[in-house]
Amino acid sequence: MTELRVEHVDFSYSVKQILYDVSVTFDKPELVCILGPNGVGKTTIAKTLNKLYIPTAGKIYIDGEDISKMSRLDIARKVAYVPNSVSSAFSMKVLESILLGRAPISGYNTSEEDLDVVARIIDLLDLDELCERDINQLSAGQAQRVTIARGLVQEPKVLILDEPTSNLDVRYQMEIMRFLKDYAREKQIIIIMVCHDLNITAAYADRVILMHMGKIFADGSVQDVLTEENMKTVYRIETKVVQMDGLTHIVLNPL
Amino acid sequence: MEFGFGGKAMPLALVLVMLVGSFALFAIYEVVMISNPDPHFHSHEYSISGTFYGEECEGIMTSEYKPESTSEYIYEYKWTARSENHSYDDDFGVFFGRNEMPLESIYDYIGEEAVGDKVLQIWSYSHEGIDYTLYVGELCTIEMVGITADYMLLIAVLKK
Amino acid sequence: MTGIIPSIKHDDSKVSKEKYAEIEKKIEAVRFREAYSSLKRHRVLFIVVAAVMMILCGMYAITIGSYTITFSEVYENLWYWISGTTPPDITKYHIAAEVRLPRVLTALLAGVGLAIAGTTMQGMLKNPLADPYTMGISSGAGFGAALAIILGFEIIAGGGIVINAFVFAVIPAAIILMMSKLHTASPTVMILCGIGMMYLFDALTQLFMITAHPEDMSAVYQWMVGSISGTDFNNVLVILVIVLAGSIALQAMSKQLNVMGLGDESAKSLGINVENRRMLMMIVLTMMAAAIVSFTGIIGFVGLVSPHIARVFVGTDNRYLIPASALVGALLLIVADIISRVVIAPNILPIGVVTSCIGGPLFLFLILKARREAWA
Repeated sequence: MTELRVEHVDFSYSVKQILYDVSVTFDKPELVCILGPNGVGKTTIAKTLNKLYIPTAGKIYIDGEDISKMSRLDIARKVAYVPNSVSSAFSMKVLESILLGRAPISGYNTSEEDLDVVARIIDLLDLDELCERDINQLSAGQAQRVTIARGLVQEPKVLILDEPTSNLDVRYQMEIMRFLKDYAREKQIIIIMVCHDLNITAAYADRVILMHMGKIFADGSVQDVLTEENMKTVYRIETKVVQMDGLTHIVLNPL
Repeated sequence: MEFGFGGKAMPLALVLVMLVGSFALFAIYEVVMISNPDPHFHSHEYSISGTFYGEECEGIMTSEYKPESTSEYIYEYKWTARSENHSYDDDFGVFFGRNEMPLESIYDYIGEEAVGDKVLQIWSYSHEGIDYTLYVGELCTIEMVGITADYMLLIAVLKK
Repeated sequence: MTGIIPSIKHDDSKVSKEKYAEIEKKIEAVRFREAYSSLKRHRVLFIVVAAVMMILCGMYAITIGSYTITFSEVYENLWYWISGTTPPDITKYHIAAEVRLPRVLTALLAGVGLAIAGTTMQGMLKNPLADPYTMGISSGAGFGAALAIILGFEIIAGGGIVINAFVFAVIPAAIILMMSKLHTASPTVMILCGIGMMYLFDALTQLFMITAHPEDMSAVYQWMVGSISGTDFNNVLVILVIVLAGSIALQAMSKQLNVMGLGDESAKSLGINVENRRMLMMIVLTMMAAAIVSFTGIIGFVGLVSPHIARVFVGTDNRYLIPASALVGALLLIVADIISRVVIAPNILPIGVVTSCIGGPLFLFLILKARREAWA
């Protein structure tokens, strides 16, 4: 099982410090959601996990190896990153876009194995009908599925997604979350997702990391983290947390 | 094809600017070329006299600049001559480098000779049994060509 | 999304395990596989067709010229050249094998080199309007040529216009690379610097031109307007080696160029060291383009238009786009050469003008066509 360990990481962007002494370990196959208000450092921490951002202090280890010493290629073979949105100047077909996700693994030529992996993911995400379309002609939901597919064909041990559902309707959001939760368990990989919706997170996450002012405020199960006091402290909102049918629901009190 | 910036008008405008730019350059080039014609681009006529198989003969030779290359001056020479019972014609090329000397790979340098008030460089060239002796003056102008073979002794002289 | 288990209640039980296994066994993405094979087939077909057309046009181009030499005489002499036998008529041989053949080969190689450089530039900078001269190569080369012709100043003695043009073609690009090492090498920064360099060197060149003699000025313009007919076999060999080396290097990096098209973040996440790759590609394509420009002068539009034409037929996968563009570029230049010799025969139209006349409207047509599709 892969282990991703963050130890005492600080991150500053020119003069502004964003992350303060962040330490966290991921070593179980599960869907982890990182929550927190805007600007708290959720995306920042996500981007340090695959060396898109380089921490100003602290270390990050994957399977015991310090990622600052690893090449991008070696990291890409273990960690995939799905950004919020992708745009390209030149259009390409959906199938080509997804195939690009095999880059860290395949050589110059596209192998049979590449085609097999992509075919499987296309089936799982129901993209077969779209595979010959231009990526610039897709709807937001379709484009997001393609971006996620590209992350999945990388066959990573750790999949990081940055708010993959922020532009999508609630059905899509739930479908993606459901899919990722099952995928993490089936494929025994760690899926780390930066989220913003409290209830959808509560419905699907196996583990929640709540961030507050650049630090990890709480880290644990949905019931342990999504409490009324935590909501009040971190988001400064009044809520009522209700357990119903084994699910945690966060009922908002309008301001 | 997506044009991220500027939308519709930008790429069109840019391409038009590029087109106008290259036509402007061409226009300037033409003006400059016309006002400074290259003196190497010339055509000449030569009158031929001599003997064929012992018979008197006469003929004409022409030379014409051919714009095939920008690193060489290329001229095509054609001549015909006739006597009472025989006629002959031939053509050959004379190629000069930018230094206004015939290419050493093809022509052999013989020497120089003063003819009239000019000093001419003498080069030779053979082709299908005929020996040509080229008397080269300035600006790649050949003043005289000697044409000799077993049965032929001709001289072509530049008409003034 | 019918392929995905659509239940809300999370219940890690055997149900989902079975469903998963079910989906994975079912084959699978039929359209994807068909689409992939057909794409590959079409692309290879285009490349083969383009190669054949290029060879045919090249074979025709060799027979075009103002010197009196027949079609069969040309090929006879080319045969003597290939087989190494002594030709009976050495002047006709000279025209066929030592003037025209280098000319057509130069057109071919210059077309290939400029097109590949343009394709890489566009992919690297993610800008459809980039061409090999975007980094100031043409302005630098023009300046170097002007320096050699007007001032007689040669960087390397005996190197003449060619070496000057090459060295000064590379200088703007070198400055840009150094500047982008200090800042981050983002495409926008590079383009802006390139435009700046272009203006700088153009201005300097104009300064020289004002002080020049008329003959020198016409020589400079003659150089700038572009020509493929000034090369001899040794020059062609040099160009061949450089274009071959550059093309192989860029082709080898074509897959990475594809990934870079997704954006820097995605590319880094996929294992590409983006800044290094960009720098390497820049160096290779600059060398290649500068080498071509120093022999041929400034031939515009080929590097810009060839990738766009090729893209219509083979898409944006650079593994196919680079060779396809190369062939389109070679074809474009060979056809331009033919046109330049035929239109006002026996005089020759400068080839840069012909490429503008073909390339400009072609590019406008492509832009207009693309936007109509985008609207639909």
